[in-house]
Amino acid sequence: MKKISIMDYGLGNTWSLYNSIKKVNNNVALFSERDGKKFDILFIPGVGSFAKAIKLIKQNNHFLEIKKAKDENKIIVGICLGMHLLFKTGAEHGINEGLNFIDGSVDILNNKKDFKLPNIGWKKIEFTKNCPLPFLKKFNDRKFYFIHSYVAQPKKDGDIYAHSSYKNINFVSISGNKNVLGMQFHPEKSGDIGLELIKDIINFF
Amino acid sequence: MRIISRLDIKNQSVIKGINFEGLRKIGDPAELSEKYYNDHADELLLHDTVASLYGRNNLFHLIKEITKKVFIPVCVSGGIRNLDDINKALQHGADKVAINTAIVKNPAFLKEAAENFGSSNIIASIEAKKINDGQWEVYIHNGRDKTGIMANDWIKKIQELGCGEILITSVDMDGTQKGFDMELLNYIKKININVPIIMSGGCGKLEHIKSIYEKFKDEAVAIASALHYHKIKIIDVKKELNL
Repeated sequence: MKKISIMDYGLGNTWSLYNSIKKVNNNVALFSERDGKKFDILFIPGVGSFAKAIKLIKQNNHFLEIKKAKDENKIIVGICLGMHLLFKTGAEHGINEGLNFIDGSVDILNNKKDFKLPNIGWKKIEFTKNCPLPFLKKFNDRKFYFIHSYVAQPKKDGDIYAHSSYKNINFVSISGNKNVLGMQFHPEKSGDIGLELIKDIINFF
Repeated sequence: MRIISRLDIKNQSVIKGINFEGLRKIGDPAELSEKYYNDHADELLLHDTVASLYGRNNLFHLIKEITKKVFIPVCVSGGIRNLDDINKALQHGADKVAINTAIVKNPAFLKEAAENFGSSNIIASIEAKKINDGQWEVYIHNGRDKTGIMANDWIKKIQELGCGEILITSVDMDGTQKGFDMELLNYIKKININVPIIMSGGCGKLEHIKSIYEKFKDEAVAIASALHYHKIKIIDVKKELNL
């Protein structure tokens, strides 16, 4: 059974992600635990701001550990803010440097004054032709749970795997590059369909 | 539109009253959480009805059990008084907290909470009671005590302080099953609100949800009595509204 680790850097719904992964794969640990250092797949959760998250990750020396895992071809899966951290820069509370696994930036979904944010609720995901992971496509047009105000904007079309929309604004809901995958929505909070997606990701990689 | 299942809890039981009074026991919180999860609720709101009054919080262990089986967002409400309480709620598997009394007493706490845990985890909860034509007052301690603060002023303030959502419970309609407080909703809609609203109190049948959906399809509703007394099923509501 594959070993899963969850990056617990002090921000985000670590336990709710832990419970969901545990439901589909019993071999899961937190990164800060002794068992958490050896893994096949590392999940990076995150709720909060890009600025604070990256500061915490750097403080705890996790920045280098995540980069090392990526170089060793481990699978890195970012969820919501965890997805944002995979990008080159984030613009939430000032411009900050991210992990730079995917070229692009993280910006506010819409900066019009009366635009209602966060976007909260269940939205469909639609895959692009570029998505190199065929196993994901069975989730095309299925709804997942979103809660976010910022969105990742990959520079290269090839890194855009799926779109969703909120109030007629399209945004990237899944992005990836080689052994890195980011999801804007929360599969761990998306009921049975979300658990199925987590299970498929773990099984595929 | 999001359909949120609301469980009001007292002494480890789900309870429900009318206008926050005459409480009746409904059932076991863990069993009902799983039931509404299987009925396709979008989120769960677990509200400890006596926590703020008695200065305690008893839901954490329950949350821990529930979130092992329920894979939708779970919000904890009632008796959240400081950053440590929020941290504990999240550590036990909750995704969000809703706060009323503590932020009315100390508005700076809301700002601090949003800065530390991110706005999207923090719901400002308002218990509103009509005092005269065109004005609603904010209540605390589970609809028990008035504050002298007007709901429209408070809504502006909590947005400035950084809440990610606003849960508005109509004290006048709560538990009545006579329909959402449309008058209250129209009143707050006149204020510039840039965060999602969760309307709570009064839902008794599918038509009541429809009436909100037709006007405010981007908002959310919280439902308690109508689910507890088997008046509606969430799965039917979703079919009917094509959600």
